[in-house]
Amino acid sequence: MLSKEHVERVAEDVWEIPQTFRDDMRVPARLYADEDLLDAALSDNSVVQLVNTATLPGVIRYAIAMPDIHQGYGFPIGGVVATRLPEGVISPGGVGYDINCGVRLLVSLTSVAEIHPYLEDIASRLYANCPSGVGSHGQLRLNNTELDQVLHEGSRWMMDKGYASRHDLDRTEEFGRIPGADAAFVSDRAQERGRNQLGTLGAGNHFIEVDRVAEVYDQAIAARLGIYPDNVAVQIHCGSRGLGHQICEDYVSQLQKTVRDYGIELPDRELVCAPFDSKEGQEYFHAMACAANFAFANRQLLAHMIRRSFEEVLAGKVKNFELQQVYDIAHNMAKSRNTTLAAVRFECVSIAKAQLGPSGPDRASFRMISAISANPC
Amino acid sequence: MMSFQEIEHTADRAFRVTGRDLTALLENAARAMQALDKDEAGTTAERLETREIEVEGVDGESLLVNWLNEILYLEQVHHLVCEEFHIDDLKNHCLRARVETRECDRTYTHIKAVTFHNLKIRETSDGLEAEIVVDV
Repeated sequence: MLSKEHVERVAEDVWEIPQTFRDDMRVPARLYADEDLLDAALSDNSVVQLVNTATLPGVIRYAIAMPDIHQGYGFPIGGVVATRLPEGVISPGGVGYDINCGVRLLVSLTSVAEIHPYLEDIASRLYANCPSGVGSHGQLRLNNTELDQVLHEGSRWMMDKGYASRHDLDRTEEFGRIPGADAAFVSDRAQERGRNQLGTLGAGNHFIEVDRVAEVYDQAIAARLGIYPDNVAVQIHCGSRGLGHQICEDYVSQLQKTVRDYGIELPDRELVCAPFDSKEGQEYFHAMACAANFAFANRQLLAHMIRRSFEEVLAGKVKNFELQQVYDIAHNMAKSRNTTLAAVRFECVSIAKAQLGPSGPDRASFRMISAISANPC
Repeated sequence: MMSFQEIEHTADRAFRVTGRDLTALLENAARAMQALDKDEAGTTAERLETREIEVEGVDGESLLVNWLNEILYLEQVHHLVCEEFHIDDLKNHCLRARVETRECDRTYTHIKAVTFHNLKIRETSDGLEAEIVVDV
């Protein structure tokens, strides 16, 4: 069992479990947390799960946990690793079932006080326009060609169909489309599960939330993003729905057969993986990219339906209710990238159940988003 | 004695299941998963339909995960409530089973997927035991 005596404080709010803690660790594990968060993480299996990720072949420098660390399966929630190519691995279970689960933030220039009399009507329209539940179906019915286009184009397909603006794409991680998608590696069953689910929220901890901007810590930066105190904000938290789940399930199951062929020993079978450059690794990456693009498109269509809901209720009654996108960012994703560490440039794949930071314009402004406290109305 | 028991999990759900042999363990695991969702069952038609399914794995654990995920597939995609489970044949990590189903007007399950997290089928004095974490 792992306890506080195994953890070393290496800086304020940075804690380390040294590589010597377990023989199978390839690097130390690090947590970014204050003492209360650390105690909470040590109260269940979160930190053991973090240590497990430090055993992945090719892992670079540290296995890392963000301050939101809590117990998941395979990776802890909030866990991030980067693995160095070519020997580094990609892990479908590490990315998780809800590929590109993420959060989108919209804001308006109207105050909560102005829409308060209409909140019940807004809630009714949101329920009607944004279906929820595990197997719920949306209003778009895609044929094979259209689904294929969504898997490859993501939010760009939504813009072509009039469900997104250029501004929306500019304010989305990777502009709402990650490269590498190839639907040939997405099973028929995965496509069947996703075909009618665009524009649906799903279940579990997924939500659409109408918020009030309670406090702004840097008014100048917030103003650049269109965020002002007491105004209305909307958050969307969801991902790739049944399509992403089926892709993860397909590849976690498939890699159980091949992981031993690569001589990889793992402390938890949910971490099953393959070298990124292997046939299996590349096939999963192509399929995962499809699910990521599907999730970007899904949150985009939900944003469109939320805007429609606001318009149905507020048009002619309240001014400036239009919702502008602040940003959309994923937290279950693997990405191939070039990076520099200790003056050495190399290729790696990052695997995260946490937000890694925006990839688009205005990065500096986005850093302050986490400092905005938004309370539900 | 109950053949399954829910166990604590911070963010998802988990249960411990037992069986005198692998067949019983698999059937009981399916019943346990249904029990987790019992309160969620919605309006169902009266008609009962028996579905025959075949599942394979590379070992006992992967067969267990694939079997439960196959049941979730029926429920999520075909909007069925799976009510009883009979494994007719099990050898070499392959099974053939009958599942009693009812049609449902919606997907009632809140379980999204069955995971391999720390999954190990263990021998006990009474047979077999496993702990299963599901994604919700």
